[in-house]
Amino acid sequence: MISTWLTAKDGLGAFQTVSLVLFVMVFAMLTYRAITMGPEKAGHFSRLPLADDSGEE
Amino acid sequence: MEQNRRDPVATETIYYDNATVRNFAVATVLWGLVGMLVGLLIALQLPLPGLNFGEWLTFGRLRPLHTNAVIFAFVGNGIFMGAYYSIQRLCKTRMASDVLSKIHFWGWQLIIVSAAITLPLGITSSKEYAELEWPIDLMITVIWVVFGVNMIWTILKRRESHMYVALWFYLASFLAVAILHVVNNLEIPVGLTKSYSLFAGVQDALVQWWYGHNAVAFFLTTPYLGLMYYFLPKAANRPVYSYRLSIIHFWSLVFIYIWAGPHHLLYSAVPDWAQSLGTVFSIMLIAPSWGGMLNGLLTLRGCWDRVRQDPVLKFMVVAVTSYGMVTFEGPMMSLKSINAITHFTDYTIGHVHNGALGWNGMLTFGILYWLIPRLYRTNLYSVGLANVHFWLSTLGLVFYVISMYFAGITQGLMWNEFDSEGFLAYPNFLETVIHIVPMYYIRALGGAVYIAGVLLMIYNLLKTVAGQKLNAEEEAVVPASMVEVPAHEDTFYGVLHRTLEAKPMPFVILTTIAVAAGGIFELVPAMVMEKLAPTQATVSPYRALELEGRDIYVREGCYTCHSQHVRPFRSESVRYGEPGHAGEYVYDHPFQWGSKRTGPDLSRVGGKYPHGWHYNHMIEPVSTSPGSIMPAYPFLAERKLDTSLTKRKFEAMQKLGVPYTDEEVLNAEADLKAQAEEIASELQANSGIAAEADKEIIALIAYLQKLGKRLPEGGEK
Repeated sequence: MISTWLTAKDGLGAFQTVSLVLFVMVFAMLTYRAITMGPEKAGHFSRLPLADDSGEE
Repeated sequence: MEQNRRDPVATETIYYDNATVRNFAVATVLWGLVGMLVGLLIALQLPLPGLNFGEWLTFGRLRPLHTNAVIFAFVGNGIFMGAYYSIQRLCKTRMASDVLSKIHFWGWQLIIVSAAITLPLGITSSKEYAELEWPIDLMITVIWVVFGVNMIWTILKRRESHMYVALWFYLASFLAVAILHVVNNLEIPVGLTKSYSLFAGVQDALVQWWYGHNAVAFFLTTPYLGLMYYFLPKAANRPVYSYRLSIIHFWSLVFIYIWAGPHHLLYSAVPDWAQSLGTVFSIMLIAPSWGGMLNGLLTLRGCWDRVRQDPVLKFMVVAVTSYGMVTFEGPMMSLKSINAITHFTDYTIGHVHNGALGWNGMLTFGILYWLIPRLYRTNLYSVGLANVHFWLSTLGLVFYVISMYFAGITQGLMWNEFDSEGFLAYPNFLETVIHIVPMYYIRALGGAVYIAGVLLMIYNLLKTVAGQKLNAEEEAVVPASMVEVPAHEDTFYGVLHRTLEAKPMPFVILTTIAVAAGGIFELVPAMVMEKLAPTQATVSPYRALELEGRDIYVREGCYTCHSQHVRPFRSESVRYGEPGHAGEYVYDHPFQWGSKRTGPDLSRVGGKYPHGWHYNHMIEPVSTSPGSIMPAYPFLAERKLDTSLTKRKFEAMQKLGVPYTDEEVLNAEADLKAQAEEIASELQANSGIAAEADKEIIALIAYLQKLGKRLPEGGEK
């Protein structure tokens, strides 16, 4: 059945819709997660490159 | 471990490996200069075809050398330079294995040297940005895995629990490039220096541009974004503007990028749904790309005054700005109405050089100016010279890009223009080339100015390190064991973060899924869509001489200037003939659609001219096409055709599904000789050319005369 669906021209139009839905779902989850991240934590993460060396700064 | 976690102040002294970083930095500069000089030579070969020296230094053979050198040697070494420096510091640990670091460095340089030798020799698979033949492909796989193992092992033994976003970009790049490289280079070897792609025609085109587009994405973009997220805050001495934005930037980018490949195949025989998919995802790419660009630029908030004085920041600002420009321009070029004008023209060349010279080049220079003095514990020799370099680079970039935009749009419009009586306004393709030759000079000037800046940088860096000792083993005091992130939230997403983004292995799996999703959705239908690309009864497989001629076409890199796909435009149908159909490319391992028309499309050239025209055109192009900028190929009339692999080539094609009978395989050489004699006789009879039947030029003529020719409908082979 899957191979029939994959090889039929008619079914392939759904790929764009499915991919768009997939993306919107992932994007919505990401945005929510980024927004709900605590400021303390975000600040700590963003400073990691500045606290990584042997003190030559 | 537990004891150390309860005692966060426990520290130990470790030593960062700076020698590997320095080695990659030297390789970046050296190969960058080589790649750019080859670029300058081929830029000059277009307006001055006399600069095509002999058979090894023609445009068709050097263009792949230029692209491979710049992408994998210059940018590749640049990635490793920055990654080896930043991974150690972000993980607060030395690279896991010095041996793997050394194997990685020397293995990568060996690959580059192999490429520099084999590509001018014409040893190529002709898949753009993946031209290297199968033994080198295997070497790349091994060395890439060495890099990945070393990186993941280092991350696993890190002392900082959170994996900073730069590490995410490095990991995603490693995974995606590994998948792309393996799938795109699936091929059947027929000798040490020759192989045939597993895919043919439309399938091969989809796989190739799934790879080609994502080579740009995951080799030229995501690892450099990792470098941007590390080195820009370092240079500005400020944290990244928004870490939240960087999370959205990363996941959106890795998820979306992989889908956009088919935008390289608009108006082609690739199914319409795949083309639309490529366009839709290309447009969506603007959002994460610009999010990343703004995150980079806004990191400089409050210290823009320093940008005036600090050449490092200047380079980085222009790099990030170029990133923003090309990531807007790319989606625009994927719109069909714009693509109709820009595709196959120099506009694309301008676009990619905006990315390569602006984004990759400028960021690399900024990092080198920041890094080298630190590795040697000294100051930059001359800030003034670095500033001059900055302006030379910027000026060179502007000259290059503007001239190519101008040339591309001009040529694209000329191709499509009809006069008031309905005829093509420029029916002779050559007219449209000669018209833009002045732009080729300006492009070469831009490239020369850019290279002058690089030479200045080399002088500046050499003076910087002169008399200084490399701090090869940089001492650092770090926590004795992993430091946990303070104040974890116990929300669902807090747990999700700890589970997925702070642990490398689950992260690797998640990223693989994100990257693979697009590939699966695009490629699986392509692999099983035989019904979508039915083999046409009127299309026959290549005869032995034609196949050998095709291999010469591939060897000489003809695809770098000639396409083999007519788009469904009235202007193209009038100029070339019937638009391309999926079914007519089913025996093309690999496909030869090309991506640039410096010369005309050749997919309907069979039978258009007599053999004698092709013979004279190859020996001296201007003899048949006055003003032509094509290189001359007199050596093809002197070199004897090597038929030692002909039978094996037929056997390989048989394995790939080309319907050769066993008898045809056995008689391949005899058939080759018979067809060659026929062509040589015709050359003598119709053009008075005394050509020897066993020379390469005869095979190439056989191939060109086959292109676009079909058997009568319902006819038998």
